[in-house]
Amino acid sequence: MTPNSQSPNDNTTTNPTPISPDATPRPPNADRTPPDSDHSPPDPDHSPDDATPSPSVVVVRAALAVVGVGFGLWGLRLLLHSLSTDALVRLPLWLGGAVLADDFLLVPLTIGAGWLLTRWSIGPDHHRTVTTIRTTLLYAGITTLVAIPLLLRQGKGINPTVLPRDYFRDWLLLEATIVAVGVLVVMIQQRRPARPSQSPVRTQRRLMLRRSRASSGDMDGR
Amino acid sequence: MGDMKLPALPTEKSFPSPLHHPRVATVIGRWLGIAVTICFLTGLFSHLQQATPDWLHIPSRPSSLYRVTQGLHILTGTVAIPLLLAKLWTVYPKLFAKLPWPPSRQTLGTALGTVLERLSILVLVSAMALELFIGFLNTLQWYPWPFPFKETHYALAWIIVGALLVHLAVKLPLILAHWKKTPADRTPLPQPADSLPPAITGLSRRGLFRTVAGAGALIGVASIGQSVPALGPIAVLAPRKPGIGPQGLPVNRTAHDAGVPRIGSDWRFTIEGPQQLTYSLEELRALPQSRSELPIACVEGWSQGAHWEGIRIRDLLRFCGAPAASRVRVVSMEQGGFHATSELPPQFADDPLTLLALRLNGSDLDLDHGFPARVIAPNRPGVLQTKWVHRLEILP
Repeated sequence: MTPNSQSPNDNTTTNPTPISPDATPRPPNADRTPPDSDHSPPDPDHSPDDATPSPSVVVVRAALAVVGVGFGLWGLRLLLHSLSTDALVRLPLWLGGAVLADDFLLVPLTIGAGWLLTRWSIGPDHHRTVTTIRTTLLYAGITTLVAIPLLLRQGKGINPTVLPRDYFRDWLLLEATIVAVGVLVVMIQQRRPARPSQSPVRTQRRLMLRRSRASSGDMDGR
Repeated sequence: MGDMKLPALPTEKSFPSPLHHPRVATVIGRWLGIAVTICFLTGLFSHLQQATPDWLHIPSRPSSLYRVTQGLHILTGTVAIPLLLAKLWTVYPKLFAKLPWPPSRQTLGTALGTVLERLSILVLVSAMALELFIGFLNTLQWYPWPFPFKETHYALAWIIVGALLVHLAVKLPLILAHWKKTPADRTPLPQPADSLPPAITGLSRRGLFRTVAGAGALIGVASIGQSVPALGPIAVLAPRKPGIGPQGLPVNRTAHDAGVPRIGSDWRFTIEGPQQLTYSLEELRALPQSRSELPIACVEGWSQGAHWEGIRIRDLLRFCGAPAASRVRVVSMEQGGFHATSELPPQFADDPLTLLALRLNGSDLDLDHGFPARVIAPNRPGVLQTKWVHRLEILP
């Protein structure tokens, strides 16, 4: 959960931002946020380093590369010595399959879900709950991914002490818990008043806590 | 999948989230790097336990060392699953970056460098994804692939660490530039123009870090219970549950799997040293018995403490006239298999906790736990705690 980004009130109390989908997005506190994206002008303090890397960095990079190539070749030698020709031919297929599963299934799925969620978040009042929904979906997804082999092998263990649980029931319980916590947080967020001046004492205390944390974060950053 | 509606392939610029940023890659890469390092070192320790070179002295204490290292091995490997996915998500646009190919004569060096770097990342990602996959399935004792698990898992580990070091060498300037936290970590960065202002709907980097850390913690808490019995009831993502099995202890290889027959009254235990001694089971029970509280700690990560009773190996060495610091070969009645014999290095044979155990948790060993006799020693992988022992050989 991310209390920081769940509290739009933090910024709007001190630095009001018009909420309009057509408005050009501009971070409310852009004026006090030092640029640090790739597109920002180079920091004058750092540009000399970038132009002429220090000799120690060059030495470290070279050492890392040499040791890395050595380790990799050692691993390759172990493979060549311990695997049959047949296994050596099939291993690259499995390595390729692992990349396909990650880069063309799991990550696109995450990006697609994120894209849908961002579109949905434009809707009225959706901004209050989007972070919680994002986190809930992500947690349900990752726990399900890890549970899939357990569910597939349930009852097919080599002996009764391997996979002894009712994994389907446990998976349902786990997902129900994650969703229930998510729903609870969403309900709390939807009941939170827009203006802290009208808020109950507890909400106000939480906001004050966040504000003090945020200001200490400012000092850390400087 | 929003990106797929485009007729053309996505490009590096097709991914609008400002969280695809070197700072995010640096922070999540740091976490993943820590997990991979712990996983590699603990795995190496486990490998050295099972294939100890002559020059290496592995101490027999602390007695739960292997339990901790192997529990950490499986924990860091499992937690690395969400970390690896988060890392791949962060750098995903780079997958669609145009290769500088064919290069002009001036840029040939840079282009070659880029191609080599891409290849090293391909090696890193493919090896790490497959390593985590086969490692996790091994904890379920599921081997659906056409290559040997142990050898492949070990060799891929070296390839992963090698490719990781090369990756660090290539990215070091970028990593150093984004090592420290900045105020921008707290602020949601500009989103696509069709959304609300990012302060309202966007996720800050810090928000993303918390979400990813939370996912790792959730996976960890839901699986660590197979090594920490107190958390066993909530270990819903763990393939083992403490307390389940004969005499309340899980089993890796049953007597049936190992081809061990019923033990008759003609069973004899032999120790071959300077003198050769032979005992029936009744005679073994009449020898001085000792007690040890020692865990069974398996390479697959599960572990559980247990209460063992039997004869100290060092006492048996004394009875047959062998020197105190002797190397001992332990021979099982197991048919074939990699672990029908094991060797106790001198420091393990001499440790007062090391037993030829006859009893477990207050009763005679179950056949699946190695009846009539098994070896139990401190700080050792479960596969070396040989069961169904019928002979000890003192090695020169």
